[in-house]
Amino acid sequence: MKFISPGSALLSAVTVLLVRLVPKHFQYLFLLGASLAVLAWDRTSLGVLCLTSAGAYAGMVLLERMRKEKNRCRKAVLAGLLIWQVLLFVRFQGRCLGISYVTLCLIGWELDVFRGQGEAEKNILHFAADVLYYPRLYSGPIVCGDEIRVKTEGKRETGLRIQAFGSAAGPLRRILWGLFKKMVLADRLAMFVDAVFEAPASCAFLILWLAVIMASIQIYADFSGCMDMVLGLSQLLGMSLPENFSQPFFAAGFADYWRRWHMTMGRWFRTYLFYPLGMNGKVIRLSNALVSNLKSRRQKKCARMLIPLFATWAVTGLWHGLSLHYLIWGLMCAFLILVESGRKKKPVRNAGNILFTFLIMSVVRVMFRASCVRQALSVYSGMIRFRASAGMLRSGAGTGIIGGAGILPGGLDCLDAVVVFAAVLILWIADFYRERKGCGIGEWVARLPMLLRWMLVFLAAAAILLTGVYGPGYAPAEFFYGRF
Amino acid sequence: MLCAGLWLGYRTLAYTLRPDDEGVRTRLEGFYAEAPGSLDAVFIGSSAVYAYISPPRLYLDTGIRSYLYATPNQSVEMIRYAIRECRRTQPDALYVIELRAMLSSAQDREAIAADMRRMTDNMPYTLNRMQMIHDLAPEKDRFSWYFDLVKYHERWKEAHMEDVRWTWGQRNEWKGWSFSQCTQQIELRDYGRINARIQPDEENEGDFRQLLAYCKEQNVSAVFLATPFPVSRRQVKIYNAVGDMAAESGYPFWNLCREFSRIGLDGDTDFADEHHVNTQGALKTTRYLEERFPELLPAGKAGNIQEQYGPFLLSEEDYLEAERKSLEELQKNGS
Repeated sequence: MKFISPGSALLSAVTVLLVRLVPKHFQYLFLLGASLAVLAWDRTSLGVLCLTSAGAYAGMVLLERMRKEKNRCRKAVLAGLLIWQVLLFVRFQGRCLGISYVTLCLIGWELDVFRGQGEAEKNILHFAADVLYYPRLYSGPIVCGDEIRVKTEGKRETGLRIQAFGSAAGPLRRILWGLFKKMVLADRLAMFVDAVFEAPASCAFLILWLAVIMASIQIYADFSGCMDMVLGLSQLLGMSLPENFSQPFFAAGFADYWRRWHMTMGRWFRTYLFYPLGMNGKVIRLSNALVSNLKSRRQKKCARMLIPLFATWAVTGLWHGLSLHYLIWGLMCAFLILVESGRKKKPVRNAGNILFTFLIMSVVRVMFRASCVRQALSVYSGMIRFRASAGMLRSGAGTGIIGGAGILPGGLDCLDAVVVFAAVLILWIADFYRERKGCGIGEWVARLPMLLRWMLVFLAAAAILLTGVYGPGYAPAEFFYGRF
Repeated sequence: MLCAGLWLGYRTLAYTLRPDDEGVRTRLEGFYAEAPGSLDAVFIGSSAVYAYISPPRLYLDTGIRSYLYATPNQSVEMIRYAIRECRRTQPDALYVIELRAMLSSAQDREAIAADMRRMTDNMPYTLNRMQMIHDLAPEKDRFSWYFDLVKYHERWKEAHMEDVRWTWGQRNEWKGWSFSQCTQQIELRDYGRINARIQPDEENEGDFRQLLAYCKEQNVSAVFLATPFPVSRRQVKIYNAVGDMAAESGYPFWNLCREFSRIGLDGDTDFADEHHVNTQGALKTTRYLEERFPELLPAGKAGNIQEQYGPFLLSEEDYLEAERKSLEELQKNGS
């Protein structure tokens, strides 16, 4: 079942109503029911997630019981559990809804239980409700360890809390904002970017650069739009999930960028891979061997980071997809962070550095966005070869969206370009406001007079209805991060 | 209030962005602009209706106020919903139901299914519309049938201010009629002596019997009609059988395919193609029906009720001018 579909909207509306009406002790059951209803549409996903969850449940309960046993036995159980999770991930990645996110969440929880930093959930229904919480299956966020757990008041002390239900207006506005980003901007840009990436050799220099920049904006609008909908829906259900974005296009520097983009993923890999690797004895000894010939402190610092950084980013890349281009993308990101760490001073927060970071990350993202290394190289090749011909603005394969010819690949016409420009401007203003004021566009709208507030909401709804990419004749893009 | 506001907003957008494919929107929408209870007759059917009958001419000659609620390739099963739709505002009118769809085959009906949308996409949001979609629309993409804005929202790029609709119903001065200036010579054969019967396609027969049962149950004042075109022997026999079925239920069947000479149709000048007449042929057909209407419309009903419902035509001169120009064009094309 797609997240943006009439069926999903109806299911979510019914779930919100039921969860708000039933006693707190039974809320998790309705959440579990809704999650199973979503998964039932795809038996593969249902089967695989049940398998991985069942293994995790049994393993964690066993690990907790074995707390007093020898470490070697516990390590064996943990190793078996991790291998089971990873095998299922490798086998079903791309075919099972949410396998990437669930795998990371479960591994984090298992490691916490192993270290004694978290508790296993003994109630299997509670456990299933925690793991299979359906809004999270589409694109995250990736919750760390105990955060995965849904709390019902009075029973458990840790984890997420089903809070007292406040106003629904704020969450609904957030969902509307997410729909705007996804349907008006992301899906419209996807038609253009997909068309260019499919035939980069036939596209002109400026079109390629435009597509590369738009690809960045498209992924951001798609992913953050999804997050807004997931978080908004979770708020309606009384749950608080961690944010995943913090105005990444206002980052000055690559490390700063990754502290703002897909924050929960960064947090997970730092917590469970980067830091443990950095503190691992063998890795330390290897790193010391590398730094022995270096004199500068900065160089030594970079050299010590080398193995954990590149290993973490290699895994990060492969988590996105078991393909060479994802691996290369991960290593490229690691390289940029390493280079930046080796600089004397951190990048200053100014317009130049912000723009530079955005452009470099957009270029790196070509490797991520492409379907294979060859396609990425073809795009890079077109980006550096300045074709100063009459066809500089040649659009390439301009097939119409609904049969008509467009001015840009993917069939986008002048009015689409106006819509894109307006939407990007709105997105930038919203992010700029948040960067400056520390609060989002939703809070700003909430402070407006009621009439103005409702006008904005109606305008947003009308904009989505009219200019959104949906309906017969379209192939609306699935969430970009939903494939992981 | 929020839901009502959202619904009104959605409805305005949906009505505004509906396309006018082959003039179907203009035709159907115009029906809803007619004052409730103001029509003496409503014609239901396919292009075999809106190519053949001129309601303005009918009105000018007899005072009968009528409207053509017709869509291309309207099937027999769709007719019941069309009648139900029209009876919401015109319950006492005489329903003249054209039955060329009874001649269709299973293969034709596959194509007709695609045309069903033209009807539902040009109806206001009523329970009847929902019922029709529920009963007849294919499963796939049914959501976009219920909420047609899903299909047409991209038309915002082409919309003009005059397309904006707060409600559904923009007056149509020609009352659904389409002028046609084409001429094609066809051979008319008189099969008036053929009395044999062939049962129509099983599905068509079943739908027709359902239609007859509905009309009886709802006490619909109706007459069934077959507009004239060059029929084959087989089609004549099917019409004969259809007439029998109608008669069983007590409804008259006017088979104009047996009346070429009485209507005065000329195969050289009066037809636009093998299945439709042109303006000249339509005016002849209309004048013929003017002679038949007194059989069914009680004396006094076909009168001028302008005071109660307002003028049927805003400008008779405009219509007469349009009719004259169409006939002139026809003569030019024919010569």
